[in-house]
Amino acid sequence: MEFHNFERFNRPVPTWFSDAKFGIFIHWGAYSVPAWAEPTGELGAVDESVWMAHNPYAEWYYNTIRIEGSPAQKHQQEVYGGAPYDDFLDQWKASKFNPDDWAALFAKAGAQYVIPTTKHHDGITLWDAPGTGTRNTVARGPKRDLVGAIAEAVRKAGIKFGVYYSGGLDWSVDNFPPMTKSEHVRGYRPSDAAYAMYCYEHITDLINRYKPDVLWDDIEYPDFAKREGAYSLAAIFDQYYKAVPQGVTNDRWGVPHSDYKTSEYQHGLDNESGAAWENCRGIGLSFGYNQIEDEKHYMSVNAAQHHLIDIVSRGGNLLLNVGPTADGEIPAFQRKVLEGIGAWMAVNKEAIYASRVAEDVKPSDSPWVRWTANGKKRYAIIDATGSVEFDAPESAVDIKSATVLGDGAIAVTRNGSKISMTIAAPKVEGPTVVAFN
Amino acid sequence: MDAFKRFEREVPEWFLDAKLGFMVSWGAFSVPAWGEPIGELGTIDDWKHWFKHNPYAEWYYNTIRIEGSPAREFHKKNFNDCDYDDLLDMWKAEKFNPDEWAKLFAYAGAQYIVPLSKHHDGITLWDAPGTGTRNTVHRGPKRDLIGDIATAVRKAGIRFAVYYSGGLDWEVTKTLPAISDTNQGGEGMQRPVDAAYSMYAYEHVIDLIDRYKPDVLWNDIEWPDFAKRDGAYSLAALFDYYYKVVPHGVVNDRWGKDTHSDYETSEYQYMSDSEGAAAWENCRGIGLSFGYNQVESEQHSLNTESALRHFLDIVSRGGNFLLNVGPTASGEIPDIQKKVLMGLGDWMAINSGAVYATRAIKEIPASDTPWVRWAKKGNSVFAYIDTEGSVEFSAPASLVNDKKATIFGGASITATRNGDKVSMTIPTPKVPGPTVIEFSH
Repeated sequence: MEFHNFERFNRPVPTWFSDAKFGIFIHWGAYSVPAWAEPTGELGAVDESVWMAHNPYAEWYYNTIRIEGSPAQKHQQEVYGGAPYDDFLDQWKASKFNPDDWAALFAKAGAQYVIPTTKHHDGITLWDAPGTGTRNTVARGPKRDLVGAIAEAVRKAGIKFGVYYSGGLDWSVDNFPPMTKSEHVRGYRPSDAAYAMYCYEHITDLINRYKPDVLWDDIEYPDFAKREGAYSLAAIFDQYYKAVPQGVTNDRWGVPHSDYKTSEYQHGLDNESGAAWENCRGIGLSFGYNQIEDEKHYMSVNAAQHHLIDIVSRGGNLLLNVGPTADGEIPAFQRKVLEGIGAWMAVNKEAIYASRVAEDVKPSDSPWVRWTANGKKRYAIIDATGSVEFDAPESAVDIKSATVLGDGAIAVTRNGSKISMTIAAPKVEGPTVVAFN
Repeated sequence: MDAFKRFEREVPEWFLDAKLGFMVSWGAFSVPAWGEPIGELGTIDDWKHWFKHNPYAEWYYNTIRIEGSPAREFHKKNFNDCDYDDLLDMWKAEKFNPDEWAKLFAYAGAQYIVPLSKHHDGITLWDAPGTGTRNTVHRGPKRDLIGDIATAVRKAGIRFAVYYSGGLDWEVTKTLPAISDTNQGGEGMQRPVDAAYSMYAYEHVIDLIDRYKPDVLWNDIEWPDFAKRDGAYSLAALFDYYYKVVPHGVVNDRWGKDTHSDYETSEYQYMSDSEGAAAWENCRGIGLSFGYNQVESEQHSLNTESALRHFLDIVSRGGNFLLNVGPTASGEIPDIQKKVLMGLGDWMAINSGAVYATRAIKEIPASDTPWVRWAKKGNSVFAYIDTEGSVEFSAPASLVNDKKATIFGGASITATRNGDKVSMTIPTPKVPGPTVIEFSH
């Protein structure tokens, strides 16, 4: 593949994105009606030969039910009589969807940006996308411009708005068999001139209507468009950065340009370095709501906090996914995690937002300690109570200046490169942050 | 489909009057210019055999992908099994002279010209939206061939139309297996039918309308199913736009069942049922292929005589003849074809007044021995008689006035009536082809 001049888009990452640290992903679609998948495990931790036929991602339902002999196919037969997938679009009513309520929850959780799926692999668009006829949520099912409704609500709540778009897969436009192996994901995707035009019209429409702060592409982008000229990906980037100068694009286009890199669950961990990166995952094992999951598949509030803090300490952002029900409700277990993060953030956000990697200190797992930096300030984020001791070189950390965020000064003693202190039970659930000036 | 009811109307007179058009099949496939001349479409029942040994040279990209096909062997041997798209770069069109083509077409008597703007290989002969460099403007000929042909034929007083393959586009479906059977894997495997391809085809044809205002939209195979509805990017929206821009324009019948057509089409001996419609058109190559096929010789081709018989038979049944020309990659019209066009022109120079704007007169029976076909116009009835010397044929007195018979455009001729039959002595014609006898009221 010959690429043309994508380097012209390279530039320092806009500060807002590096400062944001925490975003919310929303996977909502016709797949939220069956809301069914086998909770096999985390991406990157499940054997590739098992993944496709037992896909834990409920948003992949349309593919999984087409795999001969898969439990999902059996489920579709037994519960829905093998009905066509598109019937779910009509059954998806979103009758309890309250975007302001969602936005309030996301704001309370401390999210700085929200990214809903505008078109997932099933090809159904959540806005009245050009060329989709009635196969979108405006003409069928919810009968609403869901993308517009979410954009308006989250921005009103002071949160930035991005869009997820599946440029790689669109099961309504290709003639490929179901994907049964991981290599099919890149092998069985539409890559031709017609699909390239279609994606171009979709994404430029998203840009014109919603001016998204993030363009989050998935899987790949049609190869035919990886060139210069009309309808090319380069032409999209040109338009995007002109319309949204502070906008950022992720790294899944398959071209030599991205503003930041992404990992997903435990997949693509190599990307978790460099100037800007983002890890995404569901609160359970799926992005789309999966009614089969229960507590043992969900992250606890504590685990979610650890995950966020660990990522931030390494210079990344967490894009934590919510998967609403077909009605438009955010399931209780997900809400609980967001509220738990929010309660902690209300006290400790100073250690998170706009922080940078503290290069001069080392993390520890016992006790659990992660560090962040903001200028000369160092924040030790400590998940322990009682007496603790951990590494904190004198050159980096001045013990006399120590305060507990949301509380007051704390006595710290130094023993060589180690420091010790007694951590009181936290007022809100989660790690205690000790700030050093 | 209800969305298409609004397009129903009378066929514009110009189309019924035109009688003769030429299709021009020119593409990257004109570089290898290779097919097996196994027979006419509609005479071979075994579709698997047809596709594997496809006589249509313009199907080369498909045929070379069929395992064990002689075309595949040919491509390996002569083109080192290169990518099909390499043929686009080899297509230079260095001798292309559109004014010369137009002059020849005008002389031959064509009233409309239908070049391929995109055949099944998906390569466009103009700078079509979304094709990047995969078109003749950026590669190969490096010209807007559609624009060049449009300008030249219109300057010569001929109407300009476009062929567009809405049904097949092997760029879009390049990951699918080659077509080797018409029943292959259901419709979806055969041709792209989805929303993305619907948009692409829509943008292409809209661009053709905007740029060239074609007098005919000649779609091939089908239109993508997703677009067979109303609303943005739909086929109905395309027709709305077309008739607004070109009110006298006509569309053929290959958009899919329950859509819309101004006239019906047949191809060689295939889809002959269409030939009873109020307006119809038969298309065929001079030989057994549309794209130039270097394997063919005169034995596979029409000559002036057989071309004229085919043409006048169609005229007598109320149809138009769309005869195909397949130029070489350099842009020349091969001699076998040129000879037929010149022969048609020689004949039309004398007789076109007895052909254009005629209508079928079904009440008078045609005859094969002697070969006689009929048509009417105004107060005249024309007999096209392909024989010399003494002939007798059916010509009912109520319809044919034997008292006023002339050799068309010339001297009167004595006709003798014997009941329903008329006899006369036909002199040797001035140019090869049937003699036209005009009977006036």
